[in-house]
Amino acid sequence: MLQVLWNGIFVGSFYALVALGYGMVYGVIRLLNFAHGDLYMVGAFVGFISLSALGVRTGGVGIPLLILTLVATMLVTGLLGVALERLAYRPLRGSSRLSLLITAVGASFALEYGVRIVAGADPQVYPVRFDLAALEVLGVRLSGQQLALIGFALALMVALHLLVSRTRRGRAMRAIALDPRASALMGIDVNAVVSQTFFIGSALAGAAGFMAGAYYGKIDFLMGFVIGLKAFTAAVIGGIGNIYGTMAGGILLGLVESVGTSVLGGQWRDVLTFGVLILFLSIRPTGLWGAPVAERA
Amino acid sequence: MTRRTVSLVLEITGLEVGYDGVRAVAGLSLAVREGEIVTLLGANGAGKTTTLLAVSGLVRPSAGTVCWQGRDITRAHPKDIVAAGIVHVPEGRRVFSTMSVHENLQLGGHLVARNTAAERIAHVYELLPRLRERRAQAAGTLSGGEQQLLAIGRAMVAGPKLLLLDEPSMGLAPLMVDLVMGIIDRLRGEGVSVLLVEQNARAALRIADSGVVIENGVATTSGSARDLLADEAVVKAYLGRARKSTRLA
Repeated sequence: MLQVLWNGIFVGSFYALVALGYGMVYGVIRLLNFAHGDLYMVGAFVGFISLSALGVRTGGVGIPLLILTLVATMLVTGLLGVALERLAYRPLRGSSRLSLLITAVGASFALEYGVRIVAGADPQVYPVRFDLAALEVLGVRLSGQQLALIGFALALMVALHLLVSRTRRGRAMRAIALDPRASALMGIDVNAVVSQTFFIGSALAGAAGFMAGAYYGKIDFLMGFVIGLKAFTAAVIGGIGNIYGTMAGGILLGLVESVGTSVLGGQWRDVLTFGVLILFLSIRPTGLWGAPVAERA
Repeated sequence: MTRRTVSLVLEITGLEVGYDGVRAVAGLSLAVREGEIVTLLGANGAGKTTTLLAVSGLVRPSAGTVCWQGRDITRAHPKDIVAAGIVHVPEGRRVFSTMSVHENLQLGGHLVARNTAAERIAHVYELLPRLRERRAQAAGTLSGGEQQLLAIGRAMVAGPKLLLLDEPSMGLAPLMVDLVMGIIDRLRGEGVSVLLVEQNARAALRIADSGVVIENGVATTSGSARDLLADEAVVKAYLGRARKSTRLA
C-alpha cells in the first residue's frame, strides 16, 4: 500500500508541474490554455532531439547532462509559449471568452500536427535510461530515477513559490490577476508580465514533458492531450488560479489514480480522473482551496 | 485666469478621444501649474474620466497633445508616464482586494528602488496611521474611506509630481470626505500638482486653486476656484442647492 501511495505521489508531481502552468496562465489572463498539454509534448520532443543530437544513444547518462538538457528544453518551450501568446492570444485580448477558447483549441491542434509533420506519427523511444541506485524505505522501493525526478519537480515548485510570493515580478503577476487596468496604473508593464507568465508556465510544462519522456521512455505527438486534461483536473481540484491548491491538486489526483487503479485495475485510470473532474465541476467548481478570494498567481 | 507662466507642468491641447465612434472628449484644452490643484467639473459623461485616462496613457487620443514638463507624452507607454511622475488614482479606488494593505503600497512603488519605496511607505504610514494599523489586512476588507486613503497612499509611494484623482469622495461619509480633501491639500503643500475630478464640486472647489467646467467633451468655462464658486451659472449647474456647511473656506 505504501508503494501505491509513493507511486501516486510520483505521478502526481508531474500532474502538479503541468497544472501549475495551466493555473498560472488562467490566474493572470483568465484563459484556459488548451495548448498547455501540447507544450508538455513539445518539451518531450525537444529533450529527445537534443539528447539525440548530443549523440546519446542508449545507456547511462550523467545527471549534469540531463540537467543541461532540461534547462535547454525549458528555454525552448518557454519561448514557444511566449510566441503562442504573442501570435494567438494577445490579438484577442478583450474579445469574448469563447473566441479565446476556440483559438486555444486551434493552437493545440497546430502544435500536435506541427510536431507530427516534423517528427512523424510513430512513437519515438527515448535514448536515456537512468542508472541510479534504488532505495528501500519501509519496504517501499523508491527508484533512483523517481527520486531524481521528484527532486526536480519539487525544486521547480519551490522556485515558483518564491518567485510569486517574494519578488516584485511575482507581486505584479498577482496584481494583474486581480485587476490588469489598475496594475497598469502602478507602472506595471502588463504585456511584459503576461509574457513572463507564459514563459514560466510553458517552461514548467516542457520540463515535465522531458522528465516524463526520460522516465516512461516512449513519446508521441498526442501525448500532451490527456495530460492537458489531467492538469486541468488537478487545477480544478485545487481551485483554478490558486498555485498552492494546484500543487496539492496534482498530488491528490496522482494518489486517486494510483490507489484507484490498484483496487479496480489499470483500465479505470482515466475513468477515475475524469470522474473526479465531473464531480468537482458539478459539486465544488471552485476547488478544495479555491474560494475565489484565495491567492492567485 | 493668469495662465502662461514658466511653472506650467501639464498642458493638454485639443484633446480628442472616441469610443466606438462616440467622441467622449472633443477638442479639450487645459493646463495645470506646478503645485496647483485644478478641478474638473461637469455632468456624468462629460468626458472628465476619459481625459484623465488619456493623460495616464490608458486610452489613446485620436487627436491633440498632452505635454508634461515640456515633453510630449501623448503616445507614451503608461509605465513611462508613471515613471515621469504622473500617477492616477482611478475611480472606484481599485485597490488589489485580496492583497494586504502593505502589499498594495509596495505595488505603488513598482518602478521605485526598494529603499526609496520603503521610506515612502513609512511616510504614508506616518501620514495615515489607520493604514499602519491595518497593514496586514486584505485591502478588500477596509471601509470605502480607508480604501480611498490606501489608493492615495499607494499613489504617493510612486513619488508623484502630478496626481490624477478621479472621484475620491465618491460614496464617502462627510467626515471622510474632509479627511481625504485634507490629504490632497497637504500633498499640494509638498509640491504635488493635482488634477481632480469630483462629483462633489463644492468640496473640490473649496480646496482647488482653479476649476474647469467640461460639457460634451470640451472645456466651456474656467477660472479661479473663488470665481467659480461665485459664478451664478456654475453654482446652479454643478453645485446644486447650497448645502448647509460648517466649513466655508
